[in-house]
Amino acid sequence: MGTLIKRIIQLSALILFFGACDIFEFRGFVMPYETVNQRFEQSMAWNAEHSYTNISVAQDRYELFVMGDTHVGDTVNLNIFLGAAVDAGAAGAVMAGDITTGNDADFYIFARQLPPESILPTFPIVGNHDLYFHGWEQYYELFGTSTYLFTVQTPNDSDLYICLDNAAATLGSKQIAWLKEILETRRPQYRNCIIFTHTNFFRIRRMTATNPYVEELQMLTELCLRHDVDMVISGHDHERNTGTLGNTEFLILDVLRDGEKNAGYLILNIESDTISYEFVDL
Amino acid sequence: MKHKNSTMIFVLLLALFLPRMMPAQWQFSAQADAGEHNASEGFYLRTGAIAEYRYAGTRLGAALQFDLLGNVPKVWSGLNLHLNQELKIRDFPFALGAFFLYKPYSELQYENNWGLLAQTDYRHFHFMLGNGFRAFRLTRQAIQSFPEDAGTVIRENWNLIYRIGYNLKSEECTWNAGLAVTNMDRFLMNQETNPMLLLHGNLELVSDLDLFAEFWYKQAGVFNISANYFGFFFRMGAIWEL
Repeated sequence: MGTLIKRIIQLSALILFFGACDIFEFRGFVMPYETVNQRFEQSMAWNAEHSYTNISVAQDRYELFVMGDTHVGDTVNLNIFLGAAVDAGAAGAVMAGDITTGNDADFYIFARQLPPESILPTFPIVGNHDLYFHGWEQYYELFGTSTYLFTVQTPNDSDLYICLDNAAATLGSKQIAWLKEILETRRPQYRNCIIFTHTNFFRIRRMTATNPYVEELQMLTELCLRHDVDMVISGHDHERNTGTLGNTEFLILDVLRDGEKNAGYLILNIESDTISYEFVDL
Repeated sequence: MKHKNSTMIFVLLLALFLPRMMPAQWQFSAQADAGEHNASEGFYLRTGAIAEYRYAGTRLGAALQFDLLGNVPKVWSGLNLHLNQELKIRDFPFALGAFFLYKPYSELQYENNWGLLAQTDYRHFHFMLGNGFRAFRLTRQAIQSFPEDAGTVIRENWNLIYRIGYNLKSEECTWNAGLAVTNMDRFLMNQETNPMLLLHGNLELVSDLDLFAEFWYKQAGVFNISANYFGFFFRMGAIWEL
């Protein structure tokens, strides 16, 4: 009996810490390879050596294409999305996490699909699936940062976009402090402010994946209200949803992974006085 | 007028004599939490006071929470009202309950939670299962400061509530210790995908006066299979039964 219990414990430990299939890595239930604070510090180190992207557009009206949860391997829907963005002359494309399965090869497959920055500036964020199998190493090697800003300069105004790493359902103490400082110091200089994350803030529908803790939600929504954040756009839930609190609209994206019935992406239309959006079904 | 007066006298008499006729019991407890989490911007200290009236398997209670140190902008940060009824079907004892949790943590927004719970205790194990509903709402002050078409509420409905715990000793012992996994605390209803780990112990200091201590550990992203530390806190308190 004692031997049997011992073996069960050993087997459980093996499954928990080392066992993995191609999709999930179960050690993630317990511990990460890097903490969110460590990833944030690496992102900041990369940001210090590379200036934030500023996109100049010729008109006051422009479009941003946004997608989440491609889970590459397969790239059919990803290429439809990127092709549509290029054809529309979008100012940029944001990819809100879970861009891969976390496997090494998938990061390189994903990166190979991206058009040159001169044609379409792209802005990836890390998602929880990207962290499986120590995926952050590949993400960091290819994209360098998951916490950063980019701005879009129109003839009369400029807009601020903030990309955040909440793949583990928390921004971590350091990233929260950074976000607070950005909103206090930089936000007032811009017309619009939109935040992109992978993990959706609110659990508007029942889902099995994790959202941020309530205490973190309270603080983040307070920041959005106080600093007039126009939108928070996230993936993770795989099904579109919207909610509004004060002036902040919280959008959740459809999944873009191949083979999904509700696969789709989002087009943001930024005009002089308004921000509108359109969910596009594939 | 005569009718009103007689009703008032009846209610007063009932209030005076009912507690004497029935074996009712009052329970008061006070607690202090000290800890930190990713969004607390350092150390926080909060206190809570709970009063419960118990009679014939019914528990009616109210609790208040105050944030003394930390980044929560309001001192009064929580109100909990709850009602529990102990029941028995054949030899299976259980309790059904309802709660309302109001969290006025900011001048711009607050949170309303309510839910229904069922729980049962064995000698060492205890289980709780329920469902909760949450609404993040703008305060009146915030509504006035935003345009008319601004959103005033976001709801998170049908949130599974659970607690699974194990105690070393049975309830009658003068001390006990145990551990539990739950997504619910007196002033916090987490989403079902954010479980908290709880280690606790209690000691009967003198008759009708218990001291208790708890350690809560919070891990974010567990169900994303991408776990990351979120926070912890220690709680100490006392329960006094009258």
